[in-house]
Amino acid sequence: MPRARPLEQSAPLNRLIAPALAWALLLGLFAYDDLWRRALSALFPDQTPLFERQTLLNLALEHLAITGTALLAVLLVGLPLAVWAARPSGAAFRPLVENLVAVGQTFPPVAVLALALPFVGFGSGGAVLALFLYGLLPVVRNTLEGLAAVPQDVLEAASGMGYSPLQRLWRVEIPLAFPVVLSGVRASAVLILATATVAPLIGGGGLGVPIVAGLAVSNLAFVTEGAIAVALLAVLLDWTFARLEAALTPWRV
Amino acid sequence: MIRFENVVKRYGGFEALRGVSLEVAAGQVVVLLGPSGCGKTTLLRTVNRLIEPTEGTVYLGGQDVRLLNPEELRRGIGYVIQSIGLFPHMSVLENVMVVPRLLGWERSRREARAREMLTRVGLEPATFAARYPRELSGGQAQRVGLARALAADPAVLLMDEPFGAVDPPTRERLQDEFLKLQAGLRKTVLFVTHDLEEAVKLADRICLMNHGQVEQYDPPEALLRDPKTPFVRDFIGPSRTLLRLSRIPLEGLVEPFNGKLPAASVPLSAMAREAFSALLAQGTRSVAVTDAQGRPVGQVRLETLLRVASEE
Ligand SMILES: Nc1ncnc2c1ncn2[C@@H]1O[C@H](COP(=O)(O)OP(=O)(O)OP(=O)(O)O)[C@@H](O)[C@H]1O
Ligand SMILES: [Mg+2]
Repeated sequence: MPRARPLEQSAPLNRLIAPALAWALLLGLFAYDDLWRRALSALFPDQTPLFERQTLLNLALEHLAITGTALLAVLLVGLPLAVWAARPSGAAFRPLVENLVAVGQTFPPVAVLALALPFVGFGSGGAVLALFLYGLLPVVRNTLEGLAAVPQDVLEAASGMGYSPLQRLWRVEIPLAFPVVLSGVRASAVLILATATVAPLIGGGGLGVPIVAGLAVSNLAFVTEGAIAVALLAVLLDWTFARLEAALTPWRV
Repeated sequence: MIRFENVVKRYGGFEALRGVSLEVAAGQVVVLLGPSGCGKTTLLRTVNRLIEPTEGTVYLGGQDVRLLNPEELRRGIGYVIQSIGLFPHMSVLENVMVVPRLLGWERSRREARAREMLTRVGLEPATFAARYPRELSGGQAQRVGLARALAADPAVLLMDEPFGAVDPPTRERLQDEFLKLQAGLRKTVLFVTHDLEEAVKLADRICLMNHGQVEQYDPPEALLRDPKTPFVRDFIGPSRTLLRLSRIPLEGLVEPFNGKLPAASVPLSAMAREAFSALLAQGTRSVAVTDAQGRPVGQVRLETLLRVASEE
């Protein structure tokens, strides 16, 4: 039997303390050059152990900035687009929207990068655009799915209580679709973060830089440095979203 | 209070309602009864305009509902459905506060009101207010649904098989509580069920429907005593006698004891049907009747029950 709990809850924020600490720890670890140098030189004794042009912390922050920008664009475009396509007024466009975002993801990101190059030029901008197109699908698809999955009886009750269509959308449909939407955002975020490693191909920065450089000069230590850092970020990002989900939807099972 | 005037609802070529005219007096419980698909839900939803009639007019308090803003109309009408439809992301208290909030009541007023309603439907606010719907039993959820419908004190209550999704003992308890609540509140209630027994128990008048038409519209006693059409007779079936007993108060049937005290007893406030069930269970010919303090005040005999049940 669930116990009674106070109506105003502080629990949701408490759940985010652990992720915040973990982020601080990870960034601290990235700043600890000496440790990386020693570990990498132990693994690859006859190669330059650590990428020298930029510090690891710097690369990681750049990587996060690219990821964050692309994700923000995905949210700003994807969420309204999907909500509109799920409404009666946008229903006619729903198949079109679904197909467009699906196409966005079937293109290999490297190809998108190459195609985007003439339009956005050399630099992180092109990378952000490609990542944005690539990351749109999970958010749009999950938002459509989440809204479609709101139980019919709840919708009927909402209308019967006297919610206007817009009030119903804001106060009932979106909150109920939220967990599904959030897991789409989570998938997009991790996808973008991992894919952002190709950004250096068109002059973008981030943790792809040592990887691409390492591949060019056959330095496995550089590749390993970048790859491990990306993997650590991806795992932490995924876990952060899991905590966020639990914190924001206390009404779920 | 509610008046249907020749209401027709067509879906393509199919007529779900074929000209229903009906008047529901203020403060009465009118039960829409009939087989599945006969149009009960459709008729009910024309009142709050979840369904617009193809022809005909629905009046609420003398006003054509088409002339009212649908959202405002709905906020003034309590609505309970079988699947309950509580909002899963809101606590019990928030669920009950929905309509007051839509009506713009201030926080303290709507919260006080919601707590009062929870208490009224038998849910202790201290225990239940902060729970989410998934943490409720079926019967508790149904009570919250009723509290939510009553929260803004609407004059009219629409209930679509509100007790259909709970087990029989819970249903009976909910029915009893509803009757008690209604005795105090005197709402105008339009109540849909396909359960004859429930209809007989709750209704001031029963509207028996078939194929989108009204077959008979009468108080339960009259419907049971005097079925107007073959359909009504069939629908009521052999349980007529028993059902009539459930409308007759025990009070008028009590006789003094002669000789020994019968083993079984029923309270004086019960209906004749309860005494009849007790007789059948005990296999005796009379049952003791007790007052509120549990003291025997007399007895009811099987013969008496059989006589009143078959009286025309
Ligand atoms: N949107 C619709 N389109 C077509 N037919 C419909 C629609 N809604 C209801 N109907 C039909 O109208 C008839 C009446 O439906 P209604 O829901 O009022 O039945 P009911 O008496 O409430 O039945 P139940 O006891 O099963 O709930 C049914 O035959 C149903 O199939
Ligand atoms: Mg129905």
